[in-house]
Amino acid sequence: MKALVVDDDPITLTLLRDSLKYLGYEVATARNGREALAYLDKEPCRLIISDWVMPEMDGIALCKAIRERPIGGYVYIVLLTSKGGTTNLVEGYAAGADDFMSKPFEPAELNSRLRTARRILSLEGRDVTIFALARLAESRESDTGVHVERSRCFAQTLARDLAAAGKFTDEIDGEFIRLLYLTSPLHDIGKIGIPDSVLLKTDHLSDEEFETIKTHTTRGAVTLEEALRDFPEAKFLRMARDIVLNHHERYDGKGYPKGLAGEAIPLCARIYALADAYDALISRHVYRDAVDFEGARQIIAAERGKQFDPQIVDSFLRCEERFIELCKTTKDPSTQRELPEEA
Amino acid sequence: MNAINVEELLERCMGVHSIMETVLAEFRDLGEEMLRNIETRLDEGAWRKASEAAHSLKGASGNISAESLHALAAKMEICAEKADAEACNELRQVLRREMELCLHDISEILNDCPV
Repeated sequence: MKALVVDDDPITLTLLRDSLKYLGYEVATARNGREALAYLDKEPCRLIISDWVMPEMDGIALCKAIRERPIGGYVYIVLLTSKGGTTNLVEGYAAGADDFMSKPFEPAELNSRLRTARRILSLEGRDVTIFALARLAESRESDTGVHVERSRCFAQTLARDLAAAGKFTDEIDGEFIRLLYLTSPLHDIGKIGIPDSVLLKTDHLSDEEFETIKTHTTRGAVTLEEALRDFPEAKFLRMARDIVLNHHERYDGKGYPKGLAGEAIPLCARIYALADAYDALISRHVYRDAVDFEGARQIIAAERGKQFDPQIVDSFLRCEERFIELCKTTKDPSTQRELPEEA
Repeated sequence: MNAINVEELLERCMGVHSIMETVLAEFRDLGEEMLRNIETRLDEGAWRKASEAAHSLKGASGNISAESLHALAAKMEICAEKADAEACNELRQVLRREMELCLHDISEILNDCPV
């Protein structure tokens, strides 16, 4: 495992670097928070041990900056401190630190803190499980799993763009983007409860059958709601529930299951609704051919303020090229054959 | 009493002599400069910067188990933060003497270390 040690004191830096190397870690070093962020821009690193008091950018500012960034996996941060007292610890936790270690550190303490870090980071295996379950649910309709992968990337792209454009700043931060990417593959988990005779039907669905299909939103949400009762603080469960239940709601209130409108629909579901719809448009189905990129763009744009949140449509129009790039890197046999000419 | 608690330092270095030697050699090269930085800031009356410089020395000396130097640097950090000129002037003399003892001890430890 790689660890990034951040400290302005060269002696602490040397001591931690050599000790961690001795313990089998691959170690990178930085002399302040700014250097650490520059490193993280180039290299992924899941474990950071950082001093608190440093010139240019201290440990607290570094924690905040890392938590605000849309970094793919979780970064575990241990703050080194000679500061004591509850107030300081609260400040550290509020900034996003996961643990603290007093200076000068003791090897036994260092070891146990690192064990905890590895245990917490290993929980990210949970992410893999979620994705595997989502693909399993999708496998009844398609055997490629490309839809869940591609639509989560679309959703992540939209969320990043919205953040960069300064939209929904009270909701979108690094954690929101990470959770959206993590939980959106579960959007159709409720389809597990839909009979094959309805789900896999290639003819037109009767009204009754369509009503059955629509229950996949509530079926999935009920399951997640039960888990949420046991773990009410689990943000990933909350977002998963919101997406599963609301990704077929429409901005104009004509969607299902509840007919919610506008901002009454959770933001994560409004974002995912567009990502899901776009992927459905550019994919071939048994009942229709794939729409080309130009056609998909026109359809999405025409639904501005109707099916989709206007600000999210604007975001899509800003980053449509990125969507097309994603299609090129995650092609499957159902994706349209003709890609637009390169500019 | 030795200026450096070698037993504790070696334990901090996971019992690995080469780590201990590297850290001590680094302090030998930087310790004097760290002290001079504190003295310069005190002469300038830059109390906050003097306190920060003392904080750095506190961290570094703590890591090499230079216990007295660590305690003195901690005091200096507080006194400089309070802009207590009199206390700082008294401490800088003691701090310099302790640094000399530390550097002397480090030379001996490094000379005695198996090559």
